[in-house]
Amino acid sequence: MGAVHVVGISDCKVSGDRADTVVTYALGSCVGIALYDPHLRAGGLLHVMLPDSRFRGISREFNPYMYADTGLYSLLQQLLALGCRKERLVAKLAGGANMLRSSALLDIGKRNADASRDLLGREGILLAGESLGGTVGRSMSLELQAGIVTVRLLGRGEEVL
Amino acid sequence: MNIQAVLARVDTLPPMPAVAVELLKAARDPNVDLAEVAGWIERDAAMAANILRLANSPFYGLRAEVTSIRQATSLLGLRKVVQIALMVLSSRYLAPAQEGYALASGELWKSSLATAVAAELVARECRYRDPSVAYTAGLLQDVGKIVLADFVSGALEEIQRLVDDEGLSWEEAERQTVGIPHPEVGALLLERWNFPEALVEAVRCHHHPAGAQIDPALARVSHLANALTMTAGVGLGADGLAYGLDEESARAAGLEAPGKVDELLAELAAKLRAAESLFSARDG
Repeated sequence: MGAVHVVGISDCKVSGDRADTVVTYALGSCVGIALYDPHLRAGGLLHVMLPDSRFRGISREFNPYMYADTGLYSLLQQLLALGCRKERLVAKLAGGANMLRSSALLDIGKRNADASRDLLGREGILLAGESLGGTVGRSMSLELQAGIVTVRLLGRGEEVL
Repeated sequence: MNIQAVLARVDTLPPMPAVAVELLKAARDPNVDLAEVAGWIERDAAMAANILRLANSPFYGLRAEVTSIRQATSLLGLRKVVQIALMVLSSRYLAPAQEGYALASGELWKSSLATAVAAELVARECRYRDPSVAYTAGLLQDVGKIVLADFVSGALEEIQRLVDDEGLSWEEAERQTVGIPHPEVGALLLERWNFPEALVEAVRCHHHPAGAQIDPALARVSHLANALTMTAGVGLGADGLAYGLDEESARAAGLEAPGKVDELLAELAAKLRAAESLFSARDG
């Protein structure tokens, strides 16, 4: 049995041990970004809360994992350090829910989803599956053995990406 | 409709100790006798011990350990101590799992604390006059779920169908299926417990603050605190984010300014990280 690495909100974990699982809970409007290198059977999971680090306040300690842009680059760097190759990486996304009849005043979920897709596109990383949007909360796990991402939709069941 | 069954269930819950309401009153009394209030708390040794344990958690940032309630009130202020007491008293209701809402043990507690912390933040943004009242309103806004969970469990598929296919909000779907939505059940509970009417109203109206008359500003704060907590994903259950946003409340808090929501969410996340010591303290 491998280890289970739990990723908190605005947090990121990677592993190079194929027996491991990386999991994150409580995806509301946040987006979970899983990156996986099938050749190395290594990967990582990032739980971002906000789309764009340019809107960060200056008052607090900066946490790169809070934002899709800085978070994705940190995750990429850690995976490259494990020996992963960017051109082999496969991405899967989950989360990005919004309140009902989501108003532009609070559409963080949509903005997180859009930003995550855009960033992956810009980096030329294949987006192989997604479970995004709606009003449902999610949790997400990445099993490194085969790169399977399981998304649990709270109160509704599971989806395999 | 099971309204009678829901109301009967409300009657079976153990009542909130009367000291909760006494403490809320004391916190708003400018002529309060601190020694007397400390005495009320110390009469319940277990509660006093739990308050001291929380007061000493890193979240409150005290430099030296407090060892008496009196000392805690002088270092943290009475309002903070009352907030902590309310947390201790409500944790026994909010900590257990609520399967009807797909909330594991501790999840409702987590989301209630997060909403309380968010309410303090929003209160500051709206310049609401009493952030500690906002905190309590946030803490207790979902207490109705502990009564309604079993009823929601039996109606879950129909509630989800109404939300998915007919675009109803979760609480509208609760009203149609169970007969009464969780905010109204929560308000009933607080009424039974003799809580101040502004708090009762804020709980009742946290999904439709426009309906508030006694303290509309408190209802708006509660509503936005809930919206931020759901968005952040803390303690989400089967209802997820299936509630509407009251745009007027959002504008009143200045949330339409570019980057404002992002900034508030980032601040909430930082505060919640600091509050993690409180999340785990629920069992004591």
